[in-house]
Amino acid sequence: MAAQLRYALERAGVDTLPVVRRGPADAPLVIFAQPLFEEHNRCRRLFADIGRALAEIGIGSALPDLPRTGDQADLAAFSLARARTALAAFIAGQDAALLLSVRGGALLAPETIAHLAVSPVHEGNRLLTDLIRTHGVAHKEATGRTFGRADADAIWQSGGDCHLAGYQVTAETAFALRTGSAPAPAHSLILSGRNPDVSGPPVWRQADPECTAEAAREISDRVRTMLASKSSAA
Amino acid sequence: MTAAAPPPVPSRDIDAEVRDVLRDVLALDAETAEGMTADTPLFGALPELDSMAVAGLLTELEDRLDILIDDDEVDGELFETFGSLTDFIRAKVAA
Repeated sequence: MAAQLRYALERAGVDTLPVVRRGPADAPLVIFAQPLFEEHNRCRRLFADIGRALAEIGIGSALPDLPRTGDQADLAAFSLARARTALAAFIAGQDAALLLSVRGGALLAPETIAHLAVSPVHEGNRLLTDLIRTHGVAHKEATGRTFGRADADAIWQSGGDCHLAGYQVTAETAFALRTGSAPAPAHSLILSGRNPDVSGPPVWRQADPECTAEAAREISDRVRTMLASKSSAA
Repeated sequence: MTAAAPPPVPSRDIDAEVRDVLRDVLALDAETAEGMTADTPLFGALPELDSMAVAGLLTELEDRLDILIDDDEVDGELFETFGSLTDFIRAKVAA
């Protein structure tokens, strides 16, 4: 089956989201929740590959760019709260069978839909640590001086934003990440690592992400199994 | 399936784990990764290993080996050679 591709701006509550859709329009629908910050860019190919693989087995997908991410025109600092609200509103307006998140996308997932989390980040604080560490390494290389959590906290406490690893991070989002956690989803798949469910590279860490077509096919097979199981239980 | 903490890593496997992380994060070819010895230089010798990659490597090592690395422990010597990195990780795992 050819993988039909559609791109449109769609309303989700108060937001307008650029959405890439693949697969037959009348097929079961899987909504994607993308990772946060730089991991979002590095996983774009993975989502395209999963979308194509799902379309080939007759499952549709929708890849929304949440506020202040991806192809959004609004380039203000990312807000975890606003992204959560927009994703929930987008899901509410769809007849979707499943939410598929990768990495920090799990932190955005509402409880209103079945959820398959790929290599989920359970604690937002891990992402915050990663952002500060990335900036710290580059800062030390450029200036010879260290930059750590205490330095970032001092900026946030003074009301400023931190520019970390290419992203403007507000005090509000830093707090939301520090305190945000995602309950362990009922269904998760670990991609890459020591005991993976799906073999493949950790593309969210790669500056030059490797091919993910094979991993995408395995993930799409798991989605098909989940949807079939839901269908037979209904 | 739910995520769980990774099981402890036997000391003899630390070299293999670090090699896997270097290969996966830096997208090295298998021959380069397998050919690394204790004396193989890393930072400055591998074009893939820049400051952004250093941060990703540290976080991936933490995730896979269930360790915590304080940023104060990270200096130029840590990534000088494959051996200096594996010695550091072995000590963290044993701590």
